[in-house]
Amino acid sequence: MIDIPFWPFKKKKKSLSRERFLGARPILNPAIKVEESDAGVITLVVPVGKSNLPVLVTKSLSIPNEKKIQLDETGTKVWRRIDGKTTMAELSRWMADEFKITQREAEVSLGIYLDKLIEKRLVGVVLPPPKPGTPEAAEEAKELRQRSKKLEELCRKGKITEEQLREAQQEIAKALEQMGEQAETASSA
Amino acid sequence: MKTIGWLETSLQIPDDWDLIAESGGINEAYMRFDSVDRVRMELKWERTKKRGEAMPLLAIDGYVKEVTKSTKDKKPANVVEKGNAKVAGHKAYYSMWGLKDERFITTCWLCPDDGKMVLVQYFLAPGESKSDRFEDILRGVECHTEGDFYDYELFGARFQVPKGYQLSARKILVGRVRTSFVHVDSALYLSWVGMAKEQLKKHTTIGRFFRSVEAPDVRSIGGIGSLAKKVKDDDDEIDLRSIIKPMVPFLSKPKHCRLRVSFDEEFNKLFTSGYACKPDEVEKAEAFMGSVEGR
Repeated sequence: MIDIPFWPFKKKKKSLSRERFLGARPILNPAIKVEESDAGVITLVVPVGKSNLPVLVTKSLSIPNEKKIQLDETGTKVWRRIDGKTTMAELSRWMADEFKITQREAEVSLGIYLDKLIEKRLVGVVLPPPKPGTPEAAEEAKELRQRSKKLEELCRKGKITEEQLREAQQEIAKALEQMGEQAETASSA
Repeated sequence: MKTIGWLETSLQIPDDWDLIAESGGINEAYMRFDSVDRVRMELKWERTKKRGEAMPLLAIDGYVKEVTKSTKDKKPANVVEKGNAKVAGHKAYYSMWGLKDERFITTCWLCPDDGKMVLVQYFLAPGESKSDRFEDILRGVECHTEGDFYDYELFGARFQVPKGYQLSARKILVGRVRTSFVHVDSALYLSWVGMAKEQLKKHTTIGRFFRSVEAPDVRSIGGIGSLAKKVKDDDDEIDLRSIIKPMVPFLSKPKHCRLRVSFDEEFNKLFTSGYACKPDEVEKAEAFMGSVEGR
């Protein structure tokens, strides 16, 4: 029997506590090239995946292998601040100072802006572990355990080596430990 | 500590707290303040003509019962301490109580100056005592003012609203707040946006900014809306006045209207303010417009 989720098309969006959001560190996608105009505005050059169409068709249609996204002045300033080390709290403090807006306004507008960048895979986010004992931690632990099971399955099918599985499971166990969760599945496997 | 002035109430809250929710403003009002990780305080008021000294005590008991009823197991609250204090010159009563792992301080008082009953619910953080922060916050609460105006201070703006004017509409968006206050036949309007320099760069002139951002909202306000139609794209300054004469002169008075858009370079804000009011309210309305500033 095929296991179909209750509503297969709707992906539940994960909620994030404000505390965790502020501790998150955005990082730039290294595959993206940056072009700068004379006015100091940044254009992102994003590589586009290879088309499934035959080469002759793609050449005749002149389908580009990259797309360009131009940021506005504010977007450029924020992009320049993302270095993989600066946390959202530091970024929003800077933004509040730079644009003379309140801390909360800076947090919300940064959140909206980065959400868009993440959706387009231009930026990733390193999240701090959730507070132990919170529903967020339990949810995250459940997800990690599921991931661990999937890896075991992949190992059984021979898609990853046992060494790779062990390494990944060690990472998962470490993450679970940080969240104050027991790493039963990870360690028993 | 930072000042928050909203819904006829002014108070001092720690820098890491924010106003997260608010409602009401006419016969009752509600505000909630959160820190980064939890709810910290709720403030409610309702207009009342009653003067009984037991009113706040009854209100506290009623509030505690209401909260315990809403819990799953409906266990009674554990009252630790009861007493009284002075808040904004009024005799206030408080009750420190616990429910499960949470501890609260509920304080309530009558403000006869403004005919209100105010209730403050403080959520104690783990290990926090009553004297750590709560007493300082309570000292900073102003439920009434001596003068003819209420002080408003919120989201980077500060202004004064004449007493008698009630908040009729507001929209608090990221980077933009829109408010209007009404009193009988008179209306006051104030809206402000942050990142003004960036906005002006985008729209090039104040006129274009007004026509694309503010005009759709201003048009619905009688009197000010007619002035909005006179704004042109190339305008770099907007300060328009008009007097609308009544259809039947001896039945009603003319309406004085003003619309102004000002750019506060220091605080990077664009303020759109205006009024439409009867001649005897013009002085107050002018004072309202004169009080608007960034912070």
